[in-house]
Amino acid sequence: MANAAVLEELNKIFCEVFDDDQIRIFREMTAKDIAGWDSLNHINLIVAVEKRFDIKFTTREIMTYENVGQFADAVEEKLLKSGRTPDLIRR
Amino acid sequence: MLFNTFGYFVFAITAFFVFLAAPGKWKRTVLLTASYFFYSFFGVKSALLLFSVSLVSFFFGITMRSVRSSRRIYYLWGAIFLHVATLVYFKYAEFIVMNVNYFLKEPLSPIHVIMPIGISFYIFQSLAYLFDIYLEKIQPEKHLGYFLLYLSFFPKLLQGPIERASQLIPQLKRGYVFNYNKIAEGVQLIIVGLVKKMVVADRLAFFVNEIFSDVVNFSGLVLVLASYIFTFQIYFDFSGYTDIARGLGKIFGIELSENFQAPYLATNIQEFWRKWHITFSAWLRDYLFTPLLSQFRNFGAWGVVGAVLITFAICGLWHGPAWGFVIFGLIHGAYMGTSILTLKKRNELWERSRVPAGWVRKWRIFVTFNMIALSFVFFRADSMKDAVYILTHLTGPVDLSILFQAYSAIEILSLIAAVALLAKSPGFAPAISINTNRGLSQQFYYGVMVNLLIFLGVKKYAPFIYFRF
Amino acid sequence: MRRLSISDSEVRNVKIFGLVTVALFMLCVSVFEFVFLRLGETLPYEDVVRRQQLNEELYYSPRYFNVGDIYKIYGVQSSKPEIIALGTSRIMPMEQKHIAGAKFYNAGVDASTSREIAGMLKILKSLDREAMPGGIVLGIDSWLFNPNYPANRQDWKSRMKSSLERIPVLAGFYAAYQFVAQRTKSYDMFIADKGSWFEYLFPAPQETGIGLNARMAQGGFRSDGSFHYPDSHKADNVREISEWRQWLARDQYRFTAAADIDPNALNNFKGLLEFCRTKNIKVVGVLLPFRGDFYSALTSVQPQAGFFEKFRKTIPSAMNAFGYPCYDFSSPEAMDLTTEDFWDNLHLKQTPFGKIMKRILVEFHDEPMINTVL
Repeated sequence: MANAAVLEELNKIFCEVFDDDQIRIFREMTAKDIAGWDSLNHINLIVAVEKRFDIKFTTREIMTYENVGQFADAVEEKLLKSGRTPDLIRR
Repeated sequence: MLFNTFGYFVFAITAFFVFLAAPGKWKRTVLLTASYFFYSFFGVKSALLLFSVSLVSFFFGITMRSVRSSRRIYYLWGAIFLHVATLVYFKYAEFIVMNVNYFLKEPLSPIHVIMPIGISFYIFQSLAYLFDIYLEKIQPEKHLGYFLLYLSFFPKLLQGPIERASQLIPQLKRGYVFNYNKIAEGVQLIIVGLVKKMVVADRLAFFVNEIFSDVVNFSGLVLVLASYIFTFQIYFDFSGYTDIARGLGKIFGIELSENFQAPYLATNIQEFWRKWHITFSAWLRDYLFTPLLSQFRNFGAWGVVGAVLITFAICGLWHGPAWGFVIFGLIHGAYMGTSILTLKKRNELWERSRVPAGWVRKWRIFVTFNMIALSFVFFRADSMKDAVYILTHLTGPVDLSILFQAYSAIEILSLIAAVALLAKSPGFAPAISINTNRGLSQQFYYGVMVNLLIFLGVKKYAPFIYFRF
Repeated sequence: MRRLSISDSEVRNVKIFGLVTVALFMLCVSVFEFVFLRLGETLPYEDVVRRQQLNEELYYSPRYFNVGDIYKIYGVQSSKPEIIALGTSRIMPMEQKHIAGAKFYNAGVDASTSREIAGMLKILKSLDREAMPGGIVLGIDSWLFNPNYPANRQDWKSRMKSSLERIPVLAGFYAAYQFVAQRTKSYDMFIADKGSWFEYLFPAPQETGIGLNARMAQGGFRSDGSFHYPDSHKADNVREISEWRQWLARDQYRFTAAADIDPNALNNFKGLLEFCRTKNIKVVGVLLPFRGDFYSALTSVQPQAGFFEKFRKTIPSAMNAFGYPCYDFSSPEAMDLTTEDFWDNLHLKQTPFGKIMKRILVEFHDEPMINTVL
């Protein structure tokens, strides 16, 4: 389970990509829950997350995530693999 | 047998009664038999091909799951190759040879391959199934019978909708429960679809066919009119077909996906593709655009444009072996690319302009519709030359009397009446839908529709436009 | 089978829907039928003939229906002529004015509804003794004897049709089916008709036509059964002989390629002549002229020319064997007919038709004082 730090960072990225400070993400959230979350913004999200966390997704992975929760778990997993702990990503 | 023939009507009713009479476990066998029986009317070879493709897909699905995760990609590519090769052979080989011959000193002898009806749809549906297995979104279907039925279910076999396995297979497995309301809804949908096709689309076709078969002999405004009318014709034709398919599905207890949601009321091109041929554009989005875009994601705007153009080129080409279709696709690619890159800016401009939102919306619908109509010129024209001629001769003397030469007063009135009634059909605009009224109005509505069909339905053989895809 | 659960209100809804649909259907049908009746399209043949007998200026020409042989049978029955004409549309210009001193009725029927030689015999056999004519002018066309002419073909469809007609119950069903099919076609034609019919719905005091075409164009069948082309009718464009040759080479329906005279049709023909002989009817056969451009093509393109030759030899000699004369006027030069004398490649205009009649009617000299006026 992704920890709170990861989720908080993700939430910031969501707000930036969708230009909406009111967004609050939750684990079961999917594309249907945000207006304007189309395939384009989906990729924008990915790119933003990759930049922010310095991680890389494969195309296959991008197509697999069903909701925000799975996505967040994957982010955390990649962070751990690269030796960084989620706490330390906080600026 | 097409949906709008008497023979099909007899077939569907017979199939339904046999289906009802069959004991629970046998119902799915009835459906499968009926589907293959139906399809073999278009040629036993077509049925065999469908069966072979189904088998291949079935085994690939199971195999992919059972091998090691790292090797699955090879099986996926193998399956993709087989599917695409089959489609390319049956649909594009003749076209490819014809085009290659332009460049060869010794041209190859032209080949003639008959394209099995519906191949474009079931190949795509089967590919979606395999992709979803690879992405671990679904488990492979282990029961061959259900899988065969998933691909061959006759209401959707000829022209879609393209169904996802996660939507259709569970429904097929669920036991059938007689539900009068579903059957009534299904019959209503079929009536609406038949009116769209036989009363409106086929009648509009008379004028469109006249003009498009002889473009150089008509003045500019007539060409414009014919293009607009075609835009409506294809909508009524294809959405009518989808209504009939969904209505039939409902009668057998299956909910098939929607394909149209008032597409010409879209305010921009992106929205249009979310409302037109929905199952097809969703397929493109999920299995072509998204992977392409994620591969190109580090190239910024160029990456987006590239992904869009490739996707829409394939979208156009999917419709058939003709350059007109490819151009149609590329035009929409250009529209989409531009729209994606500029939509935010344009929204901001409109907001700052103080023009009332209602007017902005109407204006955007108008512009979007015209963009679509323009692209359809390439879609419909008999040749590239004709398409270019139309677009370069859009002005000219106004002579609308041609409409009264093409149609009698009764026909024009009935078209207007039919379209007005169709606006109240369920599924178009819920606010004014006939189903939200109670009382006798529903019976009256469908009574009028049935009579429209009987007296004003075009009875000559008129295949659905998307039938050749 | 398990009882399907449908509630009472749902059953009631279906019933109401059914009722509304049928009621609307009947309403629409009534409107169509009312319009057709008022226009004279569906007036029963008997009534048409009666009205035409009362008012000889009245033309009969429906726009959405073909005129069948029954109309002519009623016509003959009603007028009891001494001489009739039998044949296709090519014999239809022949009218009472061409004969003085004997009552005439033109019982020619459109090729599309005539059922050929058998149809001609059917007309004769339907007549009472009082209505049986003493003389027949028989217009004979080559396609009547063409085995590949669609109506002559003995395929499974025509065999099934004829066997159906022999079984009473099935014949009834088939007739009902045909009636519905014909009405459907008429409704479709009416809906798609771009001309205006509304103003002809209520005819002027001196009604000049039964049927929309008669009212619109002032043409149609006269009270003597002959056909009057309306003033608006335009003669068909003359074509080059080479164009006609190409047209013929494409196997056009009435002039489709055939090697030999259809034996079945020839038998029917002999049967017709035999019937006339037993009834003491004098028959004069005539091979009607073609327009010059078409005639040249027909007699030079093979295999059509070969078949036409056989036709020109066989039919007159068959008639002569029964003691009946047969005039071969196929070539327009034989009667000094020019291009302007024709409506199209097949149909002669009314006035030049008189030339033919002058030559033929001498055959009836046994009948009292037959002369031609025109």
